[in-house]
Amino acid sequence: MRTVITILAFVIAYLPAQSQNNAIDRFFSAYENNENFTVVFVSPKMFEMVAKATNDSKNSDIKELVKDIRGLKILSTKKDPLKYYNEASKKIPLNEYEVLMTVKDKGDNVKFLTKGSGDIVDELLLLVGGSDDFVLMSFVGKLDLNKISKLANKLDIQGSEHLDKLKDKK
Amino acid sequence: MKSIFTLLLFAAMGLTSHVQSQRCIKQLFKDIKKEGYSFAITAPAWLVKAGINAAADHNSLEKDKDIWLSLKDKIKGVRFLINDKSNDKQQDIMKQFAQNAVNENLELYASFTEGKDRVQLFVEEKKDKIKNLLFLINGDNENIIFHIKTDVSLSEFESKSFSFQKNKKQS
Repeated sequence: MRTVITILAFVIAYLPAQSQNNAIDRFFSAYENNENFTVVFVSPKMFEMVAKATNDSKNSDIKELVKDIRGLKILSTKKDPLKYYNEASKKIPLNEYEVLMTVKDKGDNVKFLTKGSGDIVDELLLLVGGSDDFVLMSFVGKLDLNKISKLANKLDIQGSEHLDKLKDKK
Repeated sequence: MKSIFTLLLFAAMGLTSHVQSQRCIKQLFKDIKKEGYSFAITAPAWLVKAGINAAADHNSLEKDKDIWLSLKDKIKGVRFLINDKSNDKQQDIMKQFAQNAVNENLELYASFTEGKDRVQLFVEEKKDKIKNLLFLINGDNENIIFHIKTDVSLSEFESKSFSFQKNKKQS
């Protein structure tokens, strides 16, 4: 009986974490086949391959960063961006994430949210909503917040330029 | 005797799963071609090798020449298909393949979708070796499939990049 209760306790403790990730995945799934959206997915294996293939000394810091990224998902649109920003703000369990930084930049609302403590986090969410764009970007892995801003210019994907603002975090 | 038999059985299962993904990629090309007009090229290993040698001789590969020459023996074949007036059946075949690819030992490594255009990269990896690289590109009414059959190991690829870089620094 005691074993059953212990097992149940572990399952119940694990469930909330799962439901957060499912809420984000559900949000992505809801729009990934919508033609108004740009959707990017990069798997952990792809990052492993890129990290192994990058041996140029000029990009050694990128290699160090990329090897610890376990996944990337991006959802963006130019159609009704504020509507999707508000929808994402409500649906994503923002109370389970720590707000790292919020920025208002030329009419864009930019939110950085993290899961994990210190400068190395397990997940980084970037949520952007303004008059022109909506972007939801999710990085998963062992992410060094001090280095991830370097990806801002390297990714060349809509919304990734906002990562540069992480340099200004205190 | 029993352990040898068990070992052989596991080896056969491993081989079957690899052969399965080869067969399903071949079937994809066949199905697409069957349903409408498409232009397809298949280049076996010897032709790919000859092409890389020719490009190297004519200095077309520039700074990546050493890497390509070291990889030429690892590329077992290349297949390419394009149809620029694809019909609904061909589009459905591509979509179904992409949805079921994971059942055929092909893992989705990356995808990019913008509007009606989608680019997907599938990879079959076995024991640190890349066996199949498959690019699926879907447009509004066009499809492109690019398949590379290889025997490149990731650690080998890394060491070749490193040695190339080391040589470059020394010269």
